[in-house]
Amino acid sequence: MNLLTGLQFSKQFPKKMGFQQTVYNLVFKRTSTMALACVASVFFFERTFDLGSEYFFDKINEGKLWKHIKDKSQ
Amino acid sequence: MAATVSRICGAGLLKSASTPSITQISSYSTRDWSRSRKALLGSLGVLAGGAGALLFALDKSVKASELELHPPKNPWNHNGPFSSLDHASIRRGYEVYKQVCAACHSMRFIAYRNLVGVSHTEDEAKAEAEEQMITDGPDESGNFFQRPGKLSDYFPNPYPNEEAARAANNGAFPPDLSYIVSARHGGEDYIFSLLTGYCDAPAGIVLREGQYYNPYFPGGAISMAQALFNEVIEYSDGTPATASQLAKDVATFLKWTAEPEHDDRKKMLIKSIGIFTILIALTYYIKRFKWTVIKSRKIEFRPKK
Ligand code: HEC
Repeated sequence: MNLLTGLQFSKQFPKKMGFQQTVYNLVFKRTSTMALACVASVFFFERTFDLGSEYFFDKINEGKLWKHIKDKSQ
Repeated sequence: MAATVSRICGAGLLKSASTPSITQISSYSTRDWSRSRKALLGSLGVLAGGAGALLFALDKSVKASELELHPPKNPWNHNGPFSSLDHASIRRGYEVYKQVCAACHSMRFIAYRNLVGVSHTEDEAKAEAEEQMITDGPDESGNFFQRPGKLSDYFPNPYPNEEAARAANNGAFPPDLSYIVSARHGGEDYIFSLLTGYCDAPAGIVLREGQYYNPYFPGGAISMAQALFNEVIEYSDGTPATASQLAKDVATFLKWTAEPEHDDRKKMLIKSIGIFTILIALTYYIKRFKWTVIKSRKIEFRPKK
């Protein structure tokens, strides 16, 4: 969140390494790691997002979808 | 850009030369018109407006010849913004189509493979296809031959061509039902009302040979006889086959054939609401973040001493 403050901190207190500072140094500082972080987080985000919305859809339509009735028809 | 243009055409092009002069503008003014001239033009304007309004009203008036019954809105359980189609109903609707409507109506754009995962398992859909004899060919000797259907086959046509269909139905052509729900005002409500709305023709309506009265059909005289009656078929899942149940199920099935993407579309709505909520929150935050500098600065006016 505080990219800007992180940057200022690093100049003022180079010895102090908070969590934000570590994340900044490892991920956001270089474009290569930043791009990699985007790709990796998109992978996890999309999977969870899809599962979540599918769960919501299935709950709303309980008993109407094919997966709910296919065992009954046999 | 502007520099290039002026170099090519000379600077004259970029100057606006077409500002209307003061004399031109004053000719639009009515200040120094005589009273009678103003009154004449005013009444002409009112007359033209009135005539226009009269023509519009006449055009909108109710005409007895166009009297037509609009289907009532039914509480379909796929009506909600997130509500999927009822797939048990699609499956029953397929049984109705196959055993009743398919005698006259084709469904050219639906293949047996489309049923898989919607209303039938793959094995069931294969069995459905194999019940039909499909004309295929030509073989090595150039002849067409009959074979049992495959998953990739489209639903067979009850008539070889439109002329044969017309000849068998008093000259009326039973339309292809694949997209009929999208092709008619009122959609599935219309189909339901049409199938259940047959009644005796009111006095004064003349029906020709092979015509029946249905108030929901534009004009009232339809060449399709009532097709659905109580218990006209038997459902494989044991649902009581009343006429309105049959009509509701076949209308749901036709809704699916017309909009096979219906369920995916509604799932997509849920996803886009989720994604756009996140994006709007992000945009709002970034806007506030970027504007903090502008919003919190002070501008001071110090007059020169
Ligand atoms: C006996 C043959 C026959 C059967 C069975 C039949 N229809 Fe029809 N259908 C027709 C004919 C003929 C027309 C054309 C009517 C006309 O244009 O006057 C028609 C027209 C229609 C229309 C179009 C009406 C319009 O607005 O233009 C729909 C929808 C329809 N049928 C649905 C069905 C459904 C659903 C079933 C099964 C429950 C069915 N039909 C069974 C012969 C049949």
